Amino acid sequence: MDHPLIHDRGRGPELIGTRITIYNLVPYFLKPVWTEAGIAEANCITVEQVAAMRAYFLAHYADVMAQHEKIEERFRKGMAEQARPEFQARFWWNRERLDHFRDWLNERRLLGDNGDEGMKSLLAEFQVWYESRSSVGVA
Amino acid sequence: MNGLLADHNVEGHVTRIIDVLISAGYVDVWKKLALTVDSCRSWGISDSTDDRTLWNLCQSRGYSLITANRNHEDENSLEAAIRDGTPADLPAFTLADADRILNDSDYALASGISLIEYLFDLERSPESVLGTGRLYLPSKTK
Repeated sequence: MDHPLIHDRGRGPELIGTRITIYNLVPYFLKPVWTEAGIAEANCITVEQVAAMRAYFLAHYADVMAQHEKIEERFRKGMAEQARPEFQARFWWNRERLDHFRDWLNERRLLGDNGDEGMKSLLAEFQVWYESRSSVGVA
Repeated sequence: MNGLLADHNVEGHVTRIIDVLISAGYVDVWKKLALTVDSCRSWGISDSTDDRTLWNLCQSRGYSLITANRNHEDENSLEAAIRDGTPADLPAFTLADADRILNDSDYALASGISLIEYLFDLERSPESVLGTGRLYLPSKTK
């Protein structure tokens, strides 16, 4: 590829001197809300670099979109794998427990407890509190 | 784990996630994690560093990478580096829809909540998180 701002070192068309490929920018190009300046700011690049990538995108639309769809499919598969109950069973924390932990920390702070113990003992203490609370049927 | 490394083009996204978490009342929770959030520049590495080098640096320094990594698979891609890794490797957190984080507060919060959940699981039982490779944020979308 002979372009002053874009090269391909195996990751796909990429801005020289960055790790930003055309596929990082396609989601922005596909949403009309994003201006050139906004995309530049969001990705820590210049407006000129965004314009070069947009021009490349328009000139190679079919090829870029075909690869974009492959990447989207890879992400969809990864997220579906991650959403499986068998995978989720690896983890103890969830939103409900996290919200209780947030409130539990706030209560401790109000009582003057700065929670200076180590993270492991703090989490263990919370887990005991949480499970004792659950075992007596507190909603 | 020592911290998080924000990939070059998601530094603003990571800042946004943390800001939304703090606004939603998770400031004490976030502080308890006591994590540093670094950038490639703060590490003095080039913005054009390849995925494998970045991944290896993160592992050797005890950092998890946060990325929106979207590229072809080659011998130095993140996928390849993860495949060649070990069960003791820290995960790479991948922003599933990076631009949405900047435009949708609820989505940014969901991403931040998922991140915190994984980080606490890493503290509580490292084996549940280590070696999982890519973990997408948010983990559950409505």
